[in-house]
Amino acid sequence: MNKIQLKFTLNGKLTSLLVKPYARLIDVLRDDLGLTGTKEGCAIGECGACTVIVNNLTVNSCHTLAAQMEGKDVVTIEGIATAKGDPHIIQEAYVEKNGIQCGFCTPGFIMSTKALLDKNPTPTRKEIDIAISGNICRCTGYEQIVEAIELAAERLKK
Amino acid sequence: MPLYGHKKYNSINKHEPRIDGLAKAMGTANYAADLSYPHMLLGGMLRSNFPSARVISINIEKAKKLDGVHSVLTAKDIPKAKSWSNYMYITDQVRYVGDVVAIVAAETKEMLEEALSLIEVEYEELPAVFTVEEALKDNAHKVHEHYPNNIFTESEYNILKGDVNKGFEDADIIIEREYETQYVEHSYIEPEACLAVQDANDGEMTVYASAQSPFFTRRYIADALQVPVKDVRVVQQTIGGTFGGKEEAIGLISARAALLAKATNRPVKIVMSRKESFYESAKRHPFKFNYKIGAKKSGEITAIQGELICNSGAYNNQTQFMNWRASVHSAGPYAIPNVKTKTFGVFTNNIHSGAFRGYSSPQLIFAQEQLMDELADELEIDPVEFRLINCLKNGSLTATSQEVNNVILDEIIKYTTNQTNYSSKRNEYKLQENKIIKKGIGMALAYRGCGFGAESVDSSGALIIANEDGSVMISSGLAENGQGLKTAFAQIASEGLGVSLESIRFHGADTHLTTDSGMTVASRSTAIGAKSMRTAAEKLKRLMIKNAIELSVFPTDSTNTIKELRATPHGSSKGITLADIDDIDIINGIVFHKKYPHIKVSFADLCVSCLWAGKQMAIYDWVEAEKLIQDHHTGQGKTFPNYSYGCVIAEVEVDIETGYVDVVEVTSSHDVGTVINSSLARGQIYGGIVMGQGFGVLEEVEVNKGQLRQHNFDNYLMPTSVDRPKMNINLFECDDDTGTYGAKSLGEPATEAVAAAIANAVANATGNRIRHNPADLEKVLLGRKLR
Amino acid sequence: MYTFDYHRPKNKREVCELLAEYKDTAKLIAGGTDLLVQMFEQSDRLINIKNVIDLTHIKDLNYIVEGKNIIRIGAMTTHTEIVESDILKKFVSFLSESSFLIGSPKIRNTGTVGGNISNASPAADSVVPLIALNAKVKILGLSGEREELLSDFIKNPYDVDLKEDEFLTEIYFDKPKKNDYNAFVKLGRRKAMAISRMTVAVTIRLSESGLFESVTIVPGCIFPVPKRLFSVEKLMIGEKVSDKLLERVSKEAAKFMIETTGRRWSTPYKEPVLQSLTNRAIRKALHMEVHDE
Repeated sequence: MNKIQLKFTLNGKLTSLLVKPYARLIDVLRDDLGLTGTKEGCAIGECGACTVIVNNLTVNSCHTLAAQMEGKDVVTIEGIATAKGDPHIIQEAYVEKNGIQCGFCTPGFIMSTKALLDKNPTPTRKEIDIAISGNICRCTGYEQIVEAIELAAERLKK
Repeated sequence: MPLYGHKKYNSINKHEPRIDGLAKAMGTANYAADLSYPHMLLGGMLRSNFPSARVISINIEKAKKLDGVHSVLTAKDIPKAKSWSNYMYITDQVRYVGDVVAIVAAETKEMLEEALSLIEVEYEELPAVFTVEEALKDNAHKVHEHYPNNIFTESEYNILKGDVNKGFEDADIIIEREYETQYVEHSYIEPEACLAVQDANDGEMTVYASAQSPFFTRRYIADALQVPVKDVRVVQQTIGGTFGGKEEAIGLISARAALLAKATNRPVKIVMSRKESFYESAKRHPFKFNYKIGAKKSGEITAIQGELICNSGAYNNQTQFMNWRASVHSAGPYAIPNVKTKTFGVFTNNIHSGAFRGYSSPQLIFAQEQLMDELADELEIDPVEFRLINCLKNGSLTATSQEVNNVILDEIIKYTTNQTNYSSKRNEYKLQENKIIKKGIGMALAYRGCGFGAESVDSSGALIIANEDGSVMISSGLAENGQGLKTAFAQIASEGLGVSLESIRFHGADTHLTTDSGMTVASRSTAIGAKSMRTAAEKLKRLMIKNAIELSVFPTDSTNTIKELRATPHGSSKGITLADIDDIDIINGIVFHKKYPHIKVSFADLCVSCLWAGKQMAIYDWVEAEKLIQDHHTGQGKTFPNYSYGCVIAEVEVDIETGYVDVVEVTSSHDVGTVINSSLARGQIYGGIVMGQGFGVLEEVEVNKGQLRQHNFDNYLMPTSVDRPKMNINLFECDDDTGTYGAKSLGEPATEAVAAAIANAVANATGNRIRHNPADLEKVLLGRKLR
Repeated sequence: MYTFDYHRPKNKREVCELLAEYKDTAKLIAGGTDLLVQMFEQSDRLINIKNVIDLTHIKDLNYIVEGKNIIRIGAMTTHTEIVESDILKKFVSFLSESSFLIGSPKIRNTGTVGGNISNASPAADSVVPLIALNAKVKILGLSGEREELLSDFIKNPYDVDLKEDEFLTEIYFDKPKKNDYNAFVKLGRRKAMAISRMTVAVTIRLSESGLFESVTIVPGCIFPVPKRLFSVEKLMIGEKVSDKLLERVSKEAAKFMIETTGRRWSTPYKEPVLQSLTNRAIRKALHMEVHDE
């Protein structure tokens, strides 16, 4: 089994490492690179806890092959804070609106939120619901998450 | 109208952002699976695919020889194969599909998987029982030798109040109905995980785990290793949801990880896959109900009789507690003079049932509230009026003849039904004709005994420490499960001590650092468990004020007159007499004289003085539960210190050609006594509604001869954001001061009545009752299960 | 999990060469959403797979092109691209809609139409409207390119007509005309992330006088491989739309299903629901009121 030399941009930095050919993106992020912010909830792409952004689109890293990331631009939860390390406006909004309870689904939701607001800065409630429809939350009932996203959208506009 | 917003507090009773929210948003909060230790091994389990079998032989040689495999253990390799709680760490007698027959520790995932595949097991298949009916038959296979007819005798409870025979004689109308509920999965998004590390020097075993109740987990580890409890430490990690599920499952994998860590002298991490989690973690008890109820033409219920039977599965440690609660609530939130109910659990060769948010209440309420609607319809009385006639009120006697007070249930009912136009809508929807999408509205009531009640000992302890700079640390044996415990407790400590919320750190539950305060369950933590946090904080406040006086922070002469102040300038201090501790208060980190508030000093400065003067700056307090006496044969007596009350109204649209139930709007009213944190309270209710929606319409683990048809989220379905209804919340408060600052349970009340309200709404829409949960596509269209 | 080697061909020819070299131990990966899940769950179908061949770095497999008479879609076009395509929204909006209802935004971002077809799950949502369009597929092998009707290409669930060295490169269909209508209805257990319980796709061409000139009706999750209800379609030709006709057509659809698959445990549910969805799909295509509201 030959390892693959993978070169890609991760959280803004050019990254190069050897990965197992069958490694999933989530394995490389968590095990090889120690970026444990991305979570594994189901391993079959149903819960969305593993959401990351690849070339500006959200994907489930649990059913994405790492080797396919050659030349791509990958952003994880660790990569959206400000340059100084302060929380992103989206992260602050989630805290302020109590859009977080156990927090395990939170990084996935926040990445879906980021991809949404990057593409559509003024989403309707319906568009928000669709954007996060691939993220399951068992604790919050989604309501305060949607409120957080609306707050983030408002703040980002300024 | 006792809606939230009329009480006055400093730190509690308002919105505060979660103190542990930011780390979760940044992705830096540590969950058990995120941890890593040098030289760590990965642990895994080999599970039986038979529901009932004996292990004739198990050959682990090939697995042991595999490169990178450090340990393979079977039942005979460990000091104690059977846990203290009826479950098996490793077994050679399989009782359900998923029972563990061997455990392995290896260096990588690949080696672990290969090792597991190389273990050769020879099974002798045995007969098995899967349904309650099969298990209760004469000569049925015994799941456990010492339960000869598969009845879990410790879980049998009877309620006997008055004389139901006479009650039925007095009734004008009597109906009998059967209801049934399904297996449900907790589906916390974080699968169970733990990491066991043995100290090389003295063998102390530390397990970092996603443990709902760390002391409960510790008991398993000490038991499996057969070491004193003091030599085991459980450190709870940030936990990704539990709802009652991370109790036995975590205890078992923590014990197994510890056994492997001991056998290999290496740290061992076990992370369950989602499929494993489905197979090993407990499910919600399926219940079968058989109710007979009678009422007078004028609407008063005269008698209720019921048999409540639940499927306990192969192993069990909860049914005996859960059924006690079920029996107490077996007649619903109604003042019924004659009650006779019998509740018991039955062992089967299925996945075991366990604790799950509600702890029998969602199932009971599903049955009871439909029963009430059905009886009201028979009597031709509006369901709201019917409930108002019979519901518990001030001075009513419950099914256990406990007199309840501070009951605002009737106000809640009136408010919520008016708000939603319930009665006029219900009548309008009954007359829908020629419609394919039919609307329906349904209501459900709930009452819930707060805390453990007489089921268990509802005592707790708390530790509060002031540091030299005025910052404060608190700890409790009760654990943050995502519900916001850390924040609520910090607010309570802030309220009790008088310092700002920001100055407080809640240290997570670590069994070495605090005392066992019982399990974090039963929605008891804020309502009952936090009492000791309050008293400890208040005691610390008095202590610090005493220190302030003794240290002459407020210096006095022999007549206790204040001579001068150290910290701030003031006008004239002559003639101000300091009588005692009650002259001083602490609010928002300022220690001040109540009558002359300009005489003050900061809490931080006070702490500095205390440190250097060797003064005590910490309190550990313990609050013991009220003694509740209940008759064992009749169940009569005071069973809970107090109760919370709720009313939920659901509106649905049913596509009668496909059976699809769209839950469109849910209005949820709850008496929470005193709101500790308003956004946390709302969060619990929103989450509870969507969980109830899942229970009512979507979720079922179909168990077929012990095999699970659903073992991941592709076919075990929960509502997504697009599915959730419009949700309205009414928070009510009252003057009941039993709980911490009057707080009542909320975590479980938030979900327990939702599915029942939906069921009643579906019946209103279609004219057909779904008496067997959930109301999924096929059941709604065909009126029965498809297979 | 299964372990395997990874190959990244640079062009279409190399794909065929790798497939020829690794034969039945080879599997193509596009978005990976189906393949990786099945590998993780150790599906029996994939037990021999030791070589995964990545299509995502090959240019010119990802396109949507409007020609004079046909519309062509590259096999590596993602569901999101299909949803957002103006060309498809204009001519075959039911295809955009069916892709929109697949999974979640994430699944749509990486899942491809070619992957969906080649996986050939009975619940594959892309397949149903494409068969209703009488779509054809282009297949490339070492010996060149060939074409086949999509409905022939899918032989059985999870089994498509590909030789060892072949792979799917394109799907194309006739460009609908002015009086052409189409619709797709889906029944799922929930509103998102829902594997279809049942779907129906319909295309309709009306004559100048408003009579049914040609009709295709394709239900999904009814047969092992989705196919047109030819006998049902025949009932409509030359007729004018009416409640009575639609009722007849719907009943015939259910009858045809039972004749083909026999009465099974799921029939009590599927029979009435197929009737309902067929009725709704036709009404939706013709912009009639689907049901009350």
